[in-house]
Amino acid sequence: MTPKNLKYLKIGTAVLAVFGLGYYIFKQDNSGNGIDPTGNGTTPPGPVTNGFNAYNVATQLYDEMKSAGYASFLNSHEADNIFSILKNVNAQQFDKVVTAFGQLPYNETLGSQVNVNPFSDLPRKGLVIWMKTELGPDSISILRNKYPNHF
Amino acid sequence: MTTVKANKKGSTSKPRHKVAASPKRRGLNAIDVNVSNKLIDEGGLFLLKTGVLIGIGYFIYYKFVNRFQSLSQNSSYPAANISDGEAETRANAIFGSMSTFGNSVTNVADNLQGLNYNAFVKVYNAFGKRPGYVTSGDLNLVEWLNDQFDETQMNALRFLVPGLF
Repeated sequence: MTPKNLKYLKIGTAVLAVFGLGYYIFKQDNSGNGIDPTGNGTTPPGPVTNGFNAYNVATQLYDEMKSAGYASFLNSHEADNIFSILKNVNAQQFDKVVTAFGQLPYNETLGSQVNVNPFSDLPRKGLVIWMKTELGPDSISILRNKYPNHF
Repeated sequence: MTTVKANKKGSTSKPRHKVAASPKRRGLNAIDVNVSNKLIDEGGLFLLKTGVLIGIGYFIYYKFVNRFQSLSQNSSYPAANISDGEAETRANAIFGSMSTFGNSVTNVADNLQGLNYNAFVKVYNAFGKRPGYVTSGDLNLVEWLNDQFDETQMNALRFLVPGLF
């Protein structure tokens, strides 16, 4: 092998190496396996499978709804906050939230946990009844879009 | 006080005297009128041309800046869960939910529900630019939603398709 050939060989190898490296750097991911930010249309779904805790979500919803009044009355940010809490919770995860919430004492007339009758306990209600009482018809309709099994 | 008066007198009398005394200057005045008339004509034409050019330029600039820029699908996310035709239908239905008085958030929500990322891109592209509230001009889907709904309603829509707008 002459020195000239050796030189060409070196240049050729370098060019190949650069192209090979470039291919791996700029290769597009067309797998379709990425995590969809909407959490819609895929099973098992969700960008929030990591870090999702049904009990935490249920507690946040409870804290939001336990105070006096409804979303349309006295608590102007209640609907906003409920939607924010549930934003990354998909339908399957909401099943778990409902289970985690269980049945809690609730005064459906006042929208709070105030018991006006000292001789009997408040009836216990599930999460869906709480939310249906607190939120207006438009909000319930939008919740039904995402959680059709519950609303 | 006295110095100011003296200065004033001097400054006003000096040029008047000079102009009146110069016959050359008086002769030039007649030509000046013609020249200045010509200049005004040319100047007016120049301003007109400039105005038209700037107008055309601004129109092209405005059209370019406000053109619809379609989003491209992200192939690393799962494929769209609706077809192109369905996206077109949904875009039309979203636009159709706007009436003369107000807009139905539940109708828009019905048409946004269940879209994954690439499906939303399809609806966004099918929507293109459409007129919003009377004074708003043509808007793309996200601008249009912001134009039509208040923050609480937007929050409710974000709850249906999180992470997009």
